Amino acid sequence: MRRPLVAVLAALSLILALIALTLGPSGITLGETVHILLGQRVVASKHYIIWHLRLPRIIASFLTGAVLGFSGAIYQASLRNPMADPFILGVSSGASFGVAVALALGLSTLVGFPLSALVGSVVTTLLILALSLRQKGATTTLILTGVAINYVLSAAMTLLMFMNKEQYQRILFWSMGSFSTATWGAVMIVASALLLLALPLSLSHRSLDMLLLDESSGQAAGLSVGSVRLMVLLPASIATALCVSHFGVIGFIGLMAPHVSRLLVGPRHKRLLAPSALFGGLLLLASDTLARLLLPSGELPVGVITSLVGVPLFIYLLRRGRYRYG
Amino acid sequence: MDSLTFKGVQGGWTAPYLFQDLDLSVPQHTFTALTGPNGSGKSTLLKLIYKEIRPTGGVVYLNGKDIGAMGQKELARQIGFVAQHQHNDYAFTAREAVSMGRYAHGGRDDGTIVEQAMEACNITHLADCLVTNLSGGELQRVVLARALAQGGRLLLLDEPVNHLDVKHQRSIMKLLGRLTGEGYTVICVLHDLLLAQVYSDRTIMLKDGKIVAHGKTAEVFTRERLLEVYQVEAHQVHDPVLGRSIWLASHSGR
Repeated sequence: MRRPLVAVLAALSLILALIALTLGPSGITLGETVHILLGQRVVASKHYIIWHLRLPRIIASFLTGAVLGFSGAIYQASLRNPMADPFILGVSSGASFGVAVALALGLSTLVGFPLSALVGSVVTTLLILALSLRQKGATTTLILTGVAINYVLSAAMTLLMFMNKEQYQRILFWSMGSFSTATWGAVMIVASALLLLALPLSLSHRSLDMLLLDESSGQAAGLSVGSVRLMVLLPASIATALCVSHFGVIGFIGLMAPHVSRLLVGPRHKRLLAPSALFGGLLLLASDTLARLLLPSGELPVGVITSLVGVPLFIYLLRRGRYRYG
Repeated sequence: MDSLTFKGVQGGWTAPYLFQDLDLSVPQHTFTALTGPNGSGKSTLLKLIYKEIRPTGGVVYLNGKDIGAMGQKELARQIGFVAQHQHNDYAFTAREAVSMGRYAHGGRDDGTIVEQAMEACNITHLADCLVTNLSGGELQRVVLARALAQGGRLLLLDEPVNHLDVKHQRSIMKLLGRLTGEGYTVICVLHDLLLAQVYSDRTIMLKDGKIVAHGKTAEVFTRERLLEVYQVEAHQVHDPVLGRSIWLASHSGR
């Protein structure tokens, strides 16, 4: 099932990317898009739209979805919790708080949103990991500490926004997620995030399977549970933070993509990771294309689309089979 | 020869530690029942062996080697463990679940050993079934097969038959007895004192982190000791099938 599924998802992604490249208000045809991609001469403005506006955006949204889907599978395994997603350990609240602090201190023009968000999310995640990992019942402690810190940071961010009302809209728009500012530079960063995540963790698929056992059984079977959990959560958190820092908080992909993949290929991570990444990429690319096209002028926040499209599909899939996480 | 030796071990979840200066030796090829009231340290003692808890003092030796100096995988290759509660939320097949016992062997899915472990636990016919669809008794056999697949000769079991009916209890306990006969050393936490007396060669009785008695099962169980450790009266009955007497804790009286 795995290889055909991966091939089908990859082919669907390419087809969707080509359609997304063509769709838009500029009247570019599919034929022109193909010509532009093949390096043939067309009107310069159309060449610019395809190569510098749409293509980086499409690749960025697909790769971000892939990072979120892949990270979601890592989080659900390492926390042994089907409700876990890449934002459970403070990546999103830390990033939003980082941006709010930078705005409040007038540093946003100096350091930019991405850097302040990245610092906020990495520091928050490290804090939560440090507070929890040595405790008995580490997964529960980890999740509850994450929930608690998320609340504190949300409250602190609300306070900062309340004190800087003129910046409220900027923070709010950023936090809803958008790929409208995607550049080739950002694409390179997200691609690096995906490599950082996928290369080492694909090789750790057996350890990820073992994390699904109860802690005692995993330990007795030779898994150094605490160290392995830390080693897989750190790259997943940093990769997610790199995406969030550039494109804002995009919910639900990291929760849904691994579940949908598990329904189709089962729980073994050797078969699960690639479809999770591809599903995540496909879903976010489709959502971003809709976010870009649905309004006659302007754009919808992509997070709104991921939830509105994703939730009904997710519930349908859950009801279809006798689903027990796997 | 002793399979497992504790020398002056101090340890537990938090200070003050439950075990202080614990000495213990478990001979090879024996079936030892680990009994005692709730909180007496039975599960904690097992955790000190597979290193979920590290001792804060003393040394635990396995086949003469300090387990503190062993890596987690090296230790895993010499033991097998069955936990008290089984999680079967993920839809692995029984074969996949058993092959997880081979994790410490360098990532090789050693098919022959996995098949042998399943055969020993009589679950070959369930190999392609999802563990999410198995009954409690079948699941317990899968978990025991996973422990055997680890390849060690010391089996640690934490109340392995707690949620099973009498028929399945008997089947698992007989399997453990057979494995002892085949050269395994079994240490099994048991709340059910009847099972301990029927199936084990030796018993360790714990109370508040101290060994109250350790020796041949028939010698460990006495009326005075059950009163001291469990604060219950006990009476002796003769089992004609076993051909010997066993102690039953009384559910009436003081």
